[in-house]
Amino acid sequence: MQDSIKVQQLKHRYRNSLAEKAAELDSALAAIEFDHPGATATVQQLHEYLHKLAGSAGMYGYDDIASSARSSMVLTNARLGVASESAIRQSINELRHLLEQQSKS
Amino acid sequence: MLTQVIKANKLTINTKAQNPGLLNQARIEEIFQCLFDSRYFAYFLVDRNWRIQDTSNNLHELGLQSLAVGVDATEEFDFLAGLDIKENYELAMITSPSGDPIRVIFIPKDSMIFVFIMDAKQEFIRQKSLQQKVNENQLLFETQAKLFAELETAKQLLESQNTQLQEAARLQSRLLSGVSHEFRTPLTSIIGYTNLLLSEDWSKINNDAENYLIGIKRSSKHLLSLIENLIDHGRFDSGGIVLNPKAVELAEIFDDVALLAKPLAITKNITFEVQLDLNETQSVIVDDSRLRQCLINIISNAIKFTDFGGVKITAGWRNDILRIGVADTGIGISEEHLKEIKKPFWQAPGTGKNGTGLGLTITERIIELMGGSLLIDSIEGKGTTVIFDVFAPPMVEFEGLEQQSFNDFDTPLNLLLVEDDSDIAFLVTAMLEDDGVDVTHLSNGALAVECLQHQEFDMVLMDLHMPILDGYGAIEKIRNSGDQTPIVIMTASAIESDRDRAEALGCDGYLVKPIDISDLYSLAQQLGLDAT
Repeated sequence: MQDSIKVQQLKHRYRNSLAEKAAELDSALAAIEFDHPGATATVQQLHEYLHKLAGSAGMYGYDDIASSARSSMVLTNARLGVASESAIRQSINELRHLLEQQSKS
Repeated sequence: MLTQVIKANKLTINTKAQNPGLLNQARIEEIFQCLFDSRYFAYFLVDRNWRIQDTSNNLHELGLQSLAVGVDATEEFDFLAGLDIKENYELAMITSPSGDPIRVIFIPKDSMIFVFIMDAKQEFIRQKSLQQKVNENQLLFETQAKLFAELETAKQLLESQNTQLQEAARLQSRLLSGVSHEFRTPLTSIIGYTNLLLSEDWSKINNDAENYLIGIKRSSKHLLSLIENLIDHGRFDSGGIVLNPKAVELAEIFDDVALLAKPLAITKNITFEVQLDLNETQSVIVDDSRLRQCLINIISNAIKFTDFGGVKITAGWRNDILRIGVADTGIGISEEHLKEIKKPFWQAPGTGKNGTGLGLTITERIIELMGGSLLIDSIEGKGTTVIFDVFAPPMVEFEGLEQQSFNDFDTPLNLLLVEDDSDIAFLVTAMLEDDGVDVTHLSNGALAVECLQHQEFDMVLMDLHMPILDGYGAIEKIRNSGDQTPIVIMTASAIESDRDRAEALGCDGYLVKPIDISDLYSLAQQLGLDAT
């Protein structure tokens, strides 16, 4: 079934917000002081942001972004044990790259 | 004699001694070095019965004047009586009979023992100061840890207050919308009656009366536009602005807007020009009333702030995007004010122009809602150019779309959507509404619990991770209140334990994002909702 006008407009709006989401992801990553004992809360914030992104990107048909966000979620999951700084940074950079790529497509 | 002792002991030192009181070669060399460097050291020589055989001349300087040849050393140092010195031995820090800290070193040689005594005041002070530093560091560390804990608590408190404030802001917006509606009705009546009175000839009998009426009408209209802006602003904050796109001819919109704006330009004796790069009969899908609202707002601002020259409107359409430009030769905006101009309730100071300070904020938000963006370029004293894009797909692609909606349910499904992410909420709402479902959207679990106490729904579609009260908490409260409305969870979490927990609390279905709307309908049918 073809999308209705409203749905098309929302999809268009979402695509326009991808660059902003990449910037928000950057800020969430920058907020984490990996060496600091209090970094758990900021890692949790990044995790929650990824959770939201995984949900919305999937709903708007960006399966690659959703899947990349889910992979990053595994690295920032406190229950599973937070991964190393370099692994998190690499994963977020890949996700950000995808967001930027899709925002220009 | 002392030199001989040193030499002799260098040869006979037991370097394997493990007892911390025993001395190895390095240590004894260090001690001798200290002795030579120190102004305060003395010695005495005892036989194996601790009787003193010889002394240095300066024992009195260390308060040990009673240690003379022939005296039993255990009388001054009673602990010596039990000591059996076979190897070099050091008492690093003891108190002398006069109460001063001293260091005592025993060096046995055949039937004699050399006892060296060194003033350890400096060492004592140094150790005390070191201990004090260790204590201070410990205290500092503990204070730091305490401060971190306090910071963390303060942060959590702030986060919780922030959530409450956001909720309060949302409620305030809702209240504002409600109150503003109440104002609008009587104001519309005042304007209506004033119009009637003005149109009657008898009002002309008294010129003053006519002026008063004109004044009332103008003020009421201003109040009305202010209230309408406030309503829109409030609606945006509570997520209540919904677009109603339909097929329209673009040229028509610009004709209408020009008809409204031209008289304003004529009154101010400035030019007004519209230049369209459009196919005259071009039909696109767009919410025309919101587009007109944006255009009128930007154009009336341009005219308001232009006293010489004129205002020029340009419009072009390419690849589903309508781009509109409004350029004026007015007073322009300073760099400093450009940063502020889009903020709610901001008004240009010193221009003498009145308004609500909400027009541009609302315009920008509507444009964003229409999938576009707004840019303002201005040079103070030269003029301003506003450019904005909106998503406006061509009509031809969407023919017959109205008939594509379907609804398999006898009566429209009445659904409560609880989702904090507006991107998802808007999309799910639009998809469900396209299928004829009545959707009420709330942004957290607490609101859903409250709403369900007053209103019935066929189904609740709820996210798990939400602020204030999450999905788990909401299911628990809803079920505890005895409410058995079917609850379907919609979450990005595919973790089995999350699902088990939600089901244990009483949810009836679990969908993992991205959800397929048809899965939701299948679930609704399985749950026995009124399906054909």
